[in-house]
Amino acid sequence: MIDKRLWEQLDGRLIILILVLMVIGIINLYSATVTMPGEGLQFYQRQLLWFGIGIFLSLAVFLFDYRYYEDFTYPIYLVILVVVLCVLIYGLVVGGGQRWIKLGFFYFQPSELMKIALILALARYFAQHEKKDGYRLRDLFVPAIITLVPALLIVKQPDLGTAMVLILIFFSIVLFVKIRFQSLFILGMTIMLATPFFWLALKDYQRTRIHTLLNPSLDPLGTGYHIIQSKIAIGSGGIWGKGFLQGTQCKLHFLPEHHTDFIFAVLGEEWGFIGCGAVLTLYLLLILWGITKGVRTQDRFGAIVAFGVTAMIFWHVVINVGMVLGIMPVVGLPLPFLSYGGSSAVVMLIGIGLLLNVRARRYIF
Amino acid sequence: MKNRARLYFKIRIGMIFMFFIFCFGFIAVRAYHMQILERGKSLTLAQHQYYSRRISLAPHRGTIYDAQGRELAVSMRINSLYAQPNKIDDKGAVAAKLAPILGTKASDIYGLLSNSKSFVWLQRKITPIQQEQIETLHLEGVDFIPESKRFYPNFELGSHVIGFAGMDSQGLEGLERAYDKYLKSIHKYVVLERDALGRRIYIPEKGKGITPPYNLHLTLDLRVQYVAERELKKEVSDQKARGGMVVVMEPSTGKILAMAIQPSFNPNLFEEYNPARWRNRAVTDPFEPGSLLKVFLLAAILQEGISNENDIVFCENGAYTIQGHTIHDISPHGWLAVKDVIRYSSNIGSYKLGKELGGGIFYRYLNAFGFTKKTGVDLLGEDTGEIRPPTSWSPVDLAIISFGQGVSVTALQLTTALSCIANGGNLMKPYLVERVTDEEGEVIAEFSPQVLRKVISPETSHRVTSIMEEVVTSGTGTRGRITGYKIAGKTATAQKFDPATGRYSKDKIIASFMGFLPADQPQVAILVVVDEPRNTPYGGTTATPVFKRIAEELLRYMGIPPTEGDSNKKFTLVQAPQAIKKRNKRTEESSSQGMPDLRGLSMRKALARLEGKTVLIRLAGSGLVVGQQPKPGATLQEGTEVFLTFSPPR
Repeated sequence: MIDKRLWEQLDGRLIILILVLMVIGIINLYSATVTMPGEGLQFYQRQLLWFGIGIFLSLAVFLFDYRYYEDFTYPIYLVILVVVLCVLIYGLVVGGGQRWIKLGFFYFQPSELMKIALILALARYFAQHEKKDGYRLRDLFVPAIITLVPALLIVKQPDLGTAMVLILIFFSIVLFVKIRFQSLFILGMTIMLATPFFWLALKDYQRTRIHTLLNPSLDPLGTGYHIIQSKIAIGSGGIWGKGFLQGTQCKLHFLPEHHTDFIFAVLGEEWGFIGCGAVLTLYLLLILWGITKGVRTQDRFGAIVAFGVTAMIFWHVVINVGMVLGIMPVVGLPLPFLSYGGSSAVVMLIGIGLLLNVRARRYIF
Repeated sequence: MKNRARLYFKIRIGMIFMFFIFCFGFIAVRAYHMQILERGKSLTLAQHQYYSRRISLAPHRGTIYDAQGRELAVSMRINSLYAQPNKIDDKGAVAAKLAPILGTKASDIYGLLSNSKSFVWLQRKITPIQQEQIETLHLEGVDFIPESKRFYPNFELGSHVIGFAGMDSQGLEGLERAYDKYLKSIHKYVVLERDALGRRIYIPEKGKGITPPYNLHLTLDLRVQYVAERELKKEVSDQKARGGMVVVMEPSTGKILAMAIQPSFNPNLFEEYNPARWRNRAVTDPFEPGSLLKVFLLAAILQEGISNENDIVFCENGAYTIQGHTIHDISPHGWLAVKDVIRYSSNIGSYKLGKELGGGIFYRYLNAFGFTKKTGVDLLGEDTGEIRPPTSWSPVDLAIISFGQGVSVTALQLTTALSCIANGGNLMKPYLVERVTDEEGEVIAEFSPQVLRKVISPETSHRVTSIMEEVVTSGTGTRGRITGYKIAGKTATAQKFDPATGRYSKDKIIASFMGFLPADQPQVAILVVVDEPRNTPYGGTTATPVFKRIAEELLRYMGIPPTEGDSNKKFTLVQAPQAIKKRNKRTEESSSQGMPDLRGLSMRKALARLEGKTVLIRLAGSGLVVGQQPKPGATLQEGTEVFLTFSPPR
C-alpha cells in the first residue's frame, strides 16, 4: 500500500508554496496579535500548533491511496452531515452563530470539514455517473441535493460564507465535469430569477451587509464599519507598507476580527501593495498548479477531487480578499494559511494532502 | 470521439484558468487602486482616527543651565485633571463640586462633561492643593495623569534668551525653541477607550528613537544677567524710558554673558503678556546706532592709513551745509585732532573723515565688522539691520552714515563688532550655548569660539582702544570712569527717525554707550541702550552710568584687579599685619575698645576701622563685608585673628 516510490512522487513545488504561505501566515499573525493579550499560548503559537496537526493529518491522508477513500466518501459525508446537524442543535453560540463543537480541549467547526466531505462525495457521484455528452439538469438533481442539504443546514447556523463556498464548489465541479450548454443556460436563468427570492430568504443582518457593501457610508459605525476600517488599513499601507509591526489601524483595534477574517488588511497595511501582490501571486501559483498539474490524471475521481480542492482554495481567496478590499459583502470566510483558526488550517492542509495524493499516484493504475 | 472529449476538456480547463486569472487580476487592480491611487485619502482618515483617540501628554524637557551650572529652566512633574464623561452619571453634581476648586464656572465644567468624547481635559497642570481637594471628593470618572510643566526659577531673569515652552512642552520662543530638538523628548501619549466596551489601551512607546531630553549649558551667567537687568530696569524706570537693552559679551570668545531687555516678562506666565514683549529685541529690532558707529569709522581710517589720530580736521564751528542739508555738532568745534573727533563725538569731523575714507571702503569695513549680515548667534528671528550699498549713497548719505544715521544695526551686531575692536581685530561668532549634555552629563555637542574673520590689525585695535579710553577719561563718557581701571567706551545720542513726520524727532532719542574693560586686557564688552529716556536724554548721562554700575559689579564678581591709581589697595591688605605691627607700640591702649561692627563696609573702610588694632587680618572674597569673626563687641587682644568675608553687593 505504501510504496517506496511514493516519496519520489511528492510534488516539491507545491510543498514549498504551502510552506512559504504558512511562514508568511505566522509572521503576519504575530504582528496582528502582538498587542492582543492571549491566555496561555499566544495566537501565533496556537496557530503553529494547528499547522502541526494539519501537516500530520495531511501526511496521513497522503499515505493512503486516495482510491481507497472512494468507497468511504458517502459514509464520511453522512457522518459529517450528522455532526453539522448536532452543532446546529447543541452547538455553542459564538459570535452570533452556532458553528462550533467542543472536542476535548479545543473548539472545532465541523462545517469546515463539510467542504472536504462534499468534494469527495461529489467526485464519487460524478465519477460513477459519467455522461460523455455532458450532464443534463435532471442528472444534476442528486448532486444538487448532496450540496444543498449541508448548505441549508450551515445557512441556518448561520454561516453564509461556508454555505456559499459549498454551492460555489458544486458549480465549479459541475462546470469541470461538463454540463450541457442548454442546461447551463437554463441553470443561469433560473438562478437569476431566483435571486429575488433568495434575497427575501436572507437574514436582516445579511441583507444590510450587502447594502453596506454597495454604500459603506450608510452606516459607518455599524455594519459599514468593517469595510471602512479595512479599506483605511489597506489603503494607508501604500506601495511599500508601514513595515513589520508598524501598522496602527489593526494594532489599535480599529479593525475588529483583524487576526481572522480580516488578516489580509494587516498584511496590506504593513507590507503594502508589494506584500499583497506577492501573497496573491503565491495563491495564484497554488491554484494554477491545481488546475494544470493537479487535475492531470487518468482517474476521473482523482481529477474531480483535485479540481474541487483547487476550487475551494480559489473561492476562499477571492471571496476573502474581495471582502477585505470592499468588493464583496462581509461574509465570514478565512483566508487559507493566513487567517487565525484551527479548523480552517486543518481542512486546508487536508485538502493539500489530497492534492499531493492524487498527483503522486497519477501513473499508478 | 475520445480526442474531441479531450479537446473540450482542455477548453473547459482553459476557460476556468482564464476565469481564475481574471478574478486575481481584478483583485490586484483593486488593491492597486486602494493602496497607490487613493492612498492619501486613507492615510488622512487613518491619522484622523489614530490621533482623535490619542491624548498627547506634555513630555519632560531637558534642563537649561547657566555658565555656572545654575538652573534657568527646569521641568517639574505635575498632574492634569481629566474626565471620562460617559462614566459620570450626575454631571451637574460633579461640575458643582469641581467648580470652586478649579476656580471656574460650574456651567463651563458641565459643558465639558456633556461632551460626547470619551476623554476631556478639565484642567491641565493643576496645583498639588487642588489635586488633594479633588482626591477627597472621590469622583467617579475624574482622574489625574502626570504631565510635565516647565518652570523658570529665576522668573524674568534672562527670559528673552531662554524663551519658554508651551502647554504641550513644545519650545515656543528663545533657546527653548531654537534648541527644541535637543530639549524635547519623544511625545508621550496614552490611548484611551477605543470602543464602546470602555477598554483602555495604553500603547507602549515603540522601541526605536526614544531619547531622553538633553540639557543645555549656556555661556550666559545668571549673576551677570541679574546685574545687567537690575541696573537697566532701574535706569529705564528712572528715565521713564520706553525700554532698553544690555548685551554683555566676552570679547575674546564671543560668548554672550548677559542679554537684558526691558521691559521684560515672566516666562512662567508668558500668556499674560503681549507677544511683542517676548521679542528678544537685541537681535530682532535694529536701531540707528548714532555716534557708536564713529568708532568703526575710526577703525577703518586708522587701518587704511588715511589719517592718524593726531591729524587735524576742521569742524566748521558747529554747522556745515552739504547740498542744502545742514549738519550740526552739539558743541561747536574749530580744528580738532582725529582722536578728538571721537572724544567729543563731532558729527562734522566724522563726515570729513568719512568723505576722506570714501563710501565704498567705509561700507566694506561696516560689512567686515558684520553689520550687514546676521551674526549667526543661536537664536531665532535674527535681523540683519539695514545698510544700503554705497553705490546709492549721496554725499548727504555718506555724511549722516559717518555718524551713524540712516543705517540700522542690532544690539548684538554692535556688541560683536565692539568685541572685535577689543580683542585685537577678530570678528567672533557670538553664541549662547556652550554644551549639550545628556542625562548622565556626557557631552553630546560642544560649541567653541569661532573667528569669522580678521577685520583690523592688533595695532589698529590698540590705537582705537586708546582713543576710546580718552572718551571715558576726558570726553563724552566721563561718567563711565571707574577709579583704578582702564575703560574704553563711546557714547551715542541718536535722534529717532519719526516715520510719521519723515524727520528725525527732536525729543525721542536712543541713548547708548558701549565699552569694554579693562582696556588693555578686555574681559567684558558691554553695550547699553536706553530707548527714549525722558529725564536726561543723552548717552553720556543715561546709558553711561548704567554701564558704569554694571562694570563695577562685574569687576568685583570676576575678580579683576585694578591696574592703575589705587592699584596698591590689595598690596596694602597683604602688608596689613606688618603695618599693624609697626603701629603696635604707638596705639597699645586702643586695643581694648573691642571688635567694631564691620558688616556692610567696603574693604578699604573696614581696614581703616581696624587700623591701630594689633590683630591678624584674614580676608576672603571681594565686595562688602558680609561676615566677621569675632562678633562685634568682642574683646580684641594682641594677635587675635580677625576673619572678614566679603561678597559683591546685591
